[in-house]
Amino acid sequence: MLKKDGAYNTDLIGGAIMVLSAALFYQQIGNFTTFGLIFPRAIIIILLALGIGLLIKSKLNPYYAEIFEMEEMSKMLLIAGIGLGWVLLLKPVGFAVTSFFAVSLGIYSLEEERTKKTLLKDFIIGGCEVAFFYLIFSRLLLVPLPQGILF
Amino acid sequence: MGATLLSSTIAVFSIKNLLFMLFGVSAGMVAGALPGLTATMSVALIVPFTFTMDPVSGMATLGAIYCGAIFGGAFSAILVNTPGTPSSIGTTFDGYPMAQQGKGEEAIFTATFASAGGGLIGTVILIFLSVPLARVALRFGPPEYFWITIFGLTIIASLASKNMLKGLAGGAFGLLISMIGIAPIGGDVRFTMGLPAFQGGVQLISVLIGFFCIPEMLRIAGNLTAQKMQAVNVEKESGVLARSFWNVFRKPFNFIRSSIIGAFVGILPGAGGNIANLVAYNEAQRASKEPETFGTGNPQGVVATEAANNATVEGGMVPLLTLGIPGAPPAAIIYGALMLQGLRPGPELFSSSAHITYAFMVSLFVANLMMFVVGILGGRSIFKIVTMIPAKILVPSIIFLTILGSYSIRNNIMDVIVMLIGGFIGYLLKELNFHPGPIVLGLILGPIAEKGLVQGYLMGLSRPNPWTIFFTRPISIVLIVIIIFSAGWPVYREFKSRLKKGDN
Repeated sequence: MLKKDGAYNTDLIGGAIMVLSAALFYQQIGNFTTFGLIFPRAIIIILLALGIGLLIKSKLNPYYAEIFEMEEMSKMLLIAGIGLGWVLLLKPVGFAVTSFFAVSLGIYSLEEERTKKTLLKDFIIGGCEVAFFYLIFSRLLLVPLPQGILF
Repeated sequence: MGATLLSSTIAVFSIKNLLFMLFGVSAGMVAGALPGLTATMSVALIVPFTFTMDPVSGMATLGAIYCGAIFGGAFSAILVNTPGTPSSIGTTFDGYPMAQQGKGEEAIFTATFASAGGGLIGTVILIFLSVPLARVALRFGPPEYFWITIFGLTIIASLASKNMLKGLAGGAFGLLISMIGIAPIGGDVRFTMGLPAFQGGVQLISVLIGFFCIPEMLRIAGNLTAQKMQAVNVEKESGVLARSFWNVFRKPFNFIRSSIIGAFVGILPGAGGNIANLVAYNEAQRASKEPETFGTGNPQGVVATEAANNATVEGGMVPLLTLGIPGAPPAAIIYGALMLQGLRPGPELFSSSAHITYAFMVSLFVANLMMFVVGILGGRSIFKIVTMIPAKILVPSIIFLTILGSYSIRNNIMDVIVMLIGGFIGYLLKELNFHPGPIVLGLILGPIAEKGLVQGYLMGLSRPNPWTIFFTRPISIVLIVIIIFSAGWPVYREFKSRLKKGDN
């Protein structure tokens, strides 16, 4: 059973993920030389066996747990979404601009009260923080941070 | 040796050298504390500045930075559950729970005492036992390296003794991820999923940051209510420094054993702090009378990992100075710096440039003493700063640093994407009750295990059955016995405790 009293069978989900991962890696095996194949083949078989073991356990002695239980799921999703957008826009828009908006909006999204005043305050904090690290990494440590459309 | 050691010690204790070392330790600590800025990177960044220095000052500065960076990883491991360097993975297991219980300052001070102490023991081993230990290290071939990694993997039995199947599956999953990219032997391009960016493999540190840090930041963001606006709890207590001191020296056997493990693993080229801290943690848990408290905020876990990872710095200098073999990436950079100073690492270094060699060794001793002072003062300040910052600012800021750090390793956007995806996968697996430790363990040990296995197999091709080479060499046999004991002990202990519960 996948769900019982609001809790999920984590052995079933975990086992399925492991079996699928083993299948994905198995499907990727191409014309490898013997030396490139010995170790991965053994590990894929072991992972598959362990995944099947977890699936069997999910029937015989399942472990149920509440997953994704949080007080404010929306805030977590907002942060995850901002993180994803941040990474995807890093190259086209540039490190400094993306990070400025992402850090500021990240702080704003976690505010208890979201007002124009807190937005302005969060943009100032985000700007100072990003500028500080941007200057250290790009000017002092000479890390070529993504330039993007502006700088 | 005595006269040389004395004159070298005098050479190290000049005001100029002490200031350079103070700078090195402090800068290394900051770099180590920032996720993504590795010890290798920090040592490499300072090398150009040492060109113009005299050899003793230059080498002392580099050694100090290396020590500081390895220690600095403990700060982020304890305060935000993110190992600043791979050498601090084990520190997250008990350090972060201590911080969550309001004992963050105690955890940091405990790490400081253990790191400085481990480094000092490592230096003593380096000065007095480097030549015989280098001979032992030379006897380790590919089969022994394979068994060493299997020994490392037995830690899964301790980390996931309550859910062995998930722990083992996590370890195998980590091993598979480690195989993405070019095979260490044979050169096959494997498991790239059609993405050319994966040809260079997945960057260990990016995945490490993703697996440990992102899930924790998401958890804090999702549980941020008005009552819990601080990411790190603070419990006002007096006598933290004394308690931290006793955490380390009340059980000196754990501290000394972990330091020796660190120094010995450091001597083995290719092993290093990544493995040493986990092996020491495993042994500390196995030897403890309260093994069930490990992973819940037991200071002995912090002592074991921090003593071991700092002792690897000096251990790694043994093959470098005596044989000219750099055992770890930062040691390779120090090798280059020695060459630029006109010194050739190897046996002749002890005869032709004994004065500089011993001065370098003594400087590591002094750097560890400095690390203790800077760690106590700096640790308190860093702890105060982190606890003062509200979680709403800390969460996006930490994610910002993880992105910056992941990118800076290879200047590659793909590493950042891998870090974030790794974080989401880590979060999902954590929710499904998979411990992140075994996954990361598999990821670290995978390449070393594969290289040992395939090279050992190649060595054994001259025999009727090539695989017998893994079971017939004396050191391999000893390692196999240790592995059986190490893997079996937690299982036996768990079985016994279940039997006891059943009786009650």
